[in-house]
Amino acid sequence: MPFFKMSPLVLKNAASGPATRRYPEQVRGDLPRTRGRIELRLESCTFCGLCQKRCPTGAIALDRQERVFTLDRFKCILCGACQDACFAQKCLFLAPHYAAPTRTRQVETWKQAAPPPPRAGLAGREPGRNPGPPSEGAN
Amino acid sequence: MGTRTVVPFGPQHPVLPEPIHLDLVLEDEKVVEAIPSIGFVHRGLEKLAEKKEFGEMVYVAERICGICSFIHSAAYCQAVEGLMKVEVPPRAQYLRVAWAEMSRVHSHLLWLGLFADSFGFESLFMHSWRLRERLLDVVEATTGGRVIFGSCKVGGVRRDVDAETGRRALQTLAVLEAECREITGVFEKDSTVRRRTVGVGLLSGKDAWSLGAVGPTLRASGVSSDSRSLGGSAYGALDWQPVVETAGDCHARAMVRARELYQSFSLIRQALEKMPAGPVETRVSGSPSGECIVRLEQPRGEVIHYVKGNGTRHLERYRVRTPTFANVPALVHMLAGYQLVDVPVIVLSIDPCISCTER
Repeated sequence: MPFFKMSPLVLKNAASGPATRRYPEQVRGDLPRTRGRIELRLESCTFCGLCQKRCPTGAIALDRQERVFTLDRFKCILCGACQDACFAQKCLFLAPHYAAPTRTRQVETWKQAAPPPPRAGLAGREPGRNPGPPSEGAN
Repeated sequence: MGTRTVVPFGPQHPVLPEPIHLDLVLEDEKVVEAIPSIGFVHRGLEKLAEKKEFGEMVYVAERICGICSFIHSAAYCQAVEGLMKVEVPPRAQYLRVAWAEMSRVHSHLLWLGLFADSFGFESLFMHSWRLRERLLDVVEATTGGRVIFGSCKVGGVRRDVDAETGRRALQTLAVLEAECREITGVFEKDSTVRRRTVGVGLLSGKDAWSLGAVGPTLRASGVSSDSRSLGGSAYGALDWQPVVETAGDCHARAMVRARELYQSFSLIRQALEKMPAGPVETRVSGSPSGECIVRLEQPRGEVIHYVKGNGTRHLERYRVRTPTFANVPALVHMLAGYQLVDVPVIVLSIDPCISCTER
């Protein structure tokens, strides 16, 4: 009967309640792969600069002398290019939760107190060899 | 002959998701002629190819459109791979098919909702989008993004789908497919929908072909044309047939898209099940030179990506011919002779995507 095609859907919907969640009481939870926001493990960063080079929008700025890492969250498009570039120390990664909404431009700055110990995070490399940070021109 | 009135339609109009402007020449309530104009959201993305490295340009290509994002990036990657003579691993090709079909399902569900909205069927609109949200969760679980998949790169794909994720995705899709049947049944048989769409915006197969219509607009007029049948990616190895309807009206265009939902579900299932093991990307070295054209089937129709390299890290020319651009002449032809009240339904029936068209 063409007049009652929608009725089963409407009745089912009336019985099952709303399809939306009652946020913030009810949270969906993170999916492990979600590209939510960039996080930095500052203590293991060698300031090699590869993330800065690969960032297509120029959201990342590094100062190797002062050991300052700057991230402009409004420029970041969460493509994950920096995460792919950060292969040596894996200090830069995309966390599955989103950054909180904000009204002002969010530029986050981290200052590293001391460089990481030379062999931190280099498991699997041959002992006694310290590759150090790649030179400026390395890509 | 009655008095002619020109009514401006768009670029801001409640039924239009994106800005296109039509000058509707009316005789009483009847449309005599429609004069389209575009150019409200031009962003100059093609020119950007001369400044961005060819590998970074994938991110730009993906952002040409927020709905058919993945297929734009896949087409761009295939074009650059053609220039650089890169062989994409089979697993990556199957993953590209699975993700392209997921983007087709999400685009068609979105469109079915907007189409229902164009004739004021708000609850059907909400039901379509409710189902689309479930699919977006599957997309997010497999790629990490909801509409910007960010998964294609020159030489393959950026992330793999492991067996467990794939199995869970297929489970969700099976439930979703059953739920889709509830709403596509309404689109097919409900008298409210049929009264507003059957016999509206008629386009004969001959007209559609000669006006250069593509995609569901062309297939709804009885022409079997689908660039997936060229066999690109892994489509050649999968079992599917283009969906064709013969009526050529708005209802037929809706039914092509509704039936394509199930075809896409089947293709996703086949792709994820038949996917061979192996690497998902090939290392690409060197710089592109030469010219390459790639044709892929987007949810809205055939998209053409043209790239020209000159041996540097930047492309010399990048050009995209989008399906909506090809469908606008057919739209103008369809509008003539119908009532003003039918204009939103007919305009929506080509699934206009103006961000794509203007780039």
